[in-house]
Amino acid sequence: MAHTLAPYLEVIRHTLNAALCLQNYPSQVVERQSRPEIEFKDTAAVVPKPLVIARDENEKCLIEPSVNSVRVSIKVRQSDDTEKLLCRKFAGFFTQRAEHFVILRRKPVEGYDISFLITNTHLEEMMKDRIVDFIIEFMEDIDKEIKDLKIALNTRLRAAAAAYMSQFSQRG
Amino acid sequence: MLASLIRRLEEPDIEVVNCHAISLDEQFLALCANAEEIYIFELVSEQYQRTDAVLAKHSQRVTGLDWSCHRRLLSVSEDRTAFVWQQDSDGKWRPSNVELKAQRAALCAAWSPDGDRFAVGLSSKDTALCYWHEEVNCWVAMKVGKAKAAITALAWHPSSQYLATGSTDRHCVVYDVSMSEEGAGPGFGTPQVTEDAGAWINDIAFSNGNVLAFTCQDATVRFKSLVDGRDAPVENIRWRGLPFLCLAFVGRTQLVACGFDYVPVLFLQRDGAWQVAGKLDLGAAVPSSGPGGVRESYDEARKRFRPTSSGKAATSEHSNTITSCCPFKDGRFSTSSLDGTVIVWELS
Amino acid sequence: MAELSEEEWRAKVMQHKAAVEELLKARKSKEALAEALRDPPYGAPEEVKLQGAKTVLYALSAFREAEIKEATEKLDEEKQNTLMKYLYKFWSQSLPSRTNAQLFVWHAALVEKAGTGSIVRVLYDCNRP
Repeated sequence: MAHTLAPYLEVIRHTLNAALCLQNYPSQVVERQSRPEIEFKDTAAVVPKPLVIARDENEKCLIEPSVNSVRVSIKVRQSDDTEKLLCRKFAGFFTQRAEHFVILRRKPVEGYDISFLITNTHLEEMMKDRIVDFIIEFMEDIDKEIKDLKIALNTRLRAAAAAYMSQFSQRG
Repeated sequence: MLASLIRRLEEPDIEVVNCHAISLDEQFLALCANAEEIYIFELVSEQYQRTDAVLAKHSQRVTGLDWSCHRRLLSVSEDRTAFVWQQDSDGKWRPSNVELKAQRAALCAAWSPDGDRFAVGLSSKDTALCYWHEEVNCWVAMKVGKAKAAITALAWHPSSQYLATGSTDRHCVVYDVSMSEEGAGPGFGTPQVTEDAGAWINDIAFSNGNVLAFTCQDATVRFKSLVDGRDAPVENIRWRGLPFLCLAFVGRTQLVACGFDYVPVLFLQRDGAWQVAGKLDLGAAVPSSGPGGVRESYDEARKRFRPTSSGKAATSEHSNTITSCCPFKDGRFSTSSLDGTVIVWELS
Repeated sequence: MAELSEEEWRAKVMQHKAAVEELLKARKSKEALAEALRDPPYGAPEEVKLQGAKTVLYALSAFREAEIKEATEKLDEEKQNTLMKYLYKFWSQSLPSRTNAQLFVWHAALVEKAGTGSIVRVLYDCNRP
């Protein structure tokens, strides 16, 4: 029980559901513009304190709410150097293609691996449940993907090593 | 709680409705599709029919619409302007200018119940109170109050003497805005009641029974009866779902709140205390609008194209956030949603 | 709410702590939790808040996983909201993964009992313990 991902993701799902209550909010600072309050912090009153949901120090999720935008940042578990490398490559792959993912932020928030930025206009175009599902599925996938990649990488390493070693055994 | 659906409006080219207003006699419906234009609909044989009128004077998104009891339409926009529209004898809608003097976007608008003045909530942290100035032939604004953040909600007292404002700085303030022939009254602009709501305010409403209701982002509705003076206790009613964006009194003791739950929620006053009565449910009854068969097959088709996620059945008539709500006759009100529909409900 | 000085806050929190420990000794875990959640130190300095949070965590740890659901049902609306606020505070404190996992169970029970509204009130209410 203590080591499954599901309860953690369930908490994030409920929290996102509560945080994605966004409305249009024209800037109080700049004329004729609406911009994400969570990025620009024009009005302190509409940017509540962020929330953290953590399994432990290495795996957590930061949710930063505001009146018209929410920033969701994820820290993926990386237990060794291989996983660290894989995670960096994986996150890099996505962020370089951020425009295809619409809600992905180009640069993750400091201390996290990947960040999403959801604004009120996204909720006008897309269904809220789908956005939440997307983020949760993304988290499930990235976890699975890194584990699979690691296994695949190890298998290939072993195969390569075996192939390399086989020439010595034939000669011997 | 049961309610019935009186009529429903869905236009193929309107995908998002960010605000709407229906005149008190239900004859006209004005709506804004999250853009600069305002569309006018007229009630013809119990259904709203689109008229050719497209009111295009604003240069940015329209944020607030309201009909006066004299059937004038007030529109305000993020472009810092406001217009008052009136229908001529030839059926055309003519705007009259409003000297709003706004520094930032206008966020909400409300006519006084007597229809002589109106208020506009501004992103520049104050409220513009406008009245008709005969000499300059134009609506002229006076500024009321100064909050610490944008004014997002307005409500007039039924006497047209007091105006309640709600701001994202968490405070709800009721101002004295009485005016005489010569201009501002002696107490003009003085705060009468101030309440801290703990979170930013989304909407305010005044009942005919002198109850002030306001809702904020923390999914609570607070009631304050002003019969007992300005120090009366605030009743804080928590809702177990998501926050509300709009409120409407549909009777002395009935309040509807709508917002991020996609469905109106009814609050009732019983034995002097306010309480949650529950979500409004249309039940299994086939709505009275249009021939039943057609409507059913239409619903069927709509479900097919808009599958709800995770196998959850659609429990309400709206499928996205309800952004505005306006009451008219006792027990009747209308809601508009980001899913592009406007619905007229009646409590049963 | 009257403004308390730092000293007064500290005294108040310590008083809570003593009462909670007393109740736990008497094996009244539900009463202890209710006591820990009563009157949270919203206006207090951070250090005092941390002490208050510790007391709540201590009270929570007295429950076994099977008892959690029943325990949340015993709390009134106000305390359910307060507990939800504390849960999010704990997650930001880098506690061991075992404790965090236990808190997920509390979260699930609270959401079932008090609805998403309780999370909404953590997010947007300016008062945080």
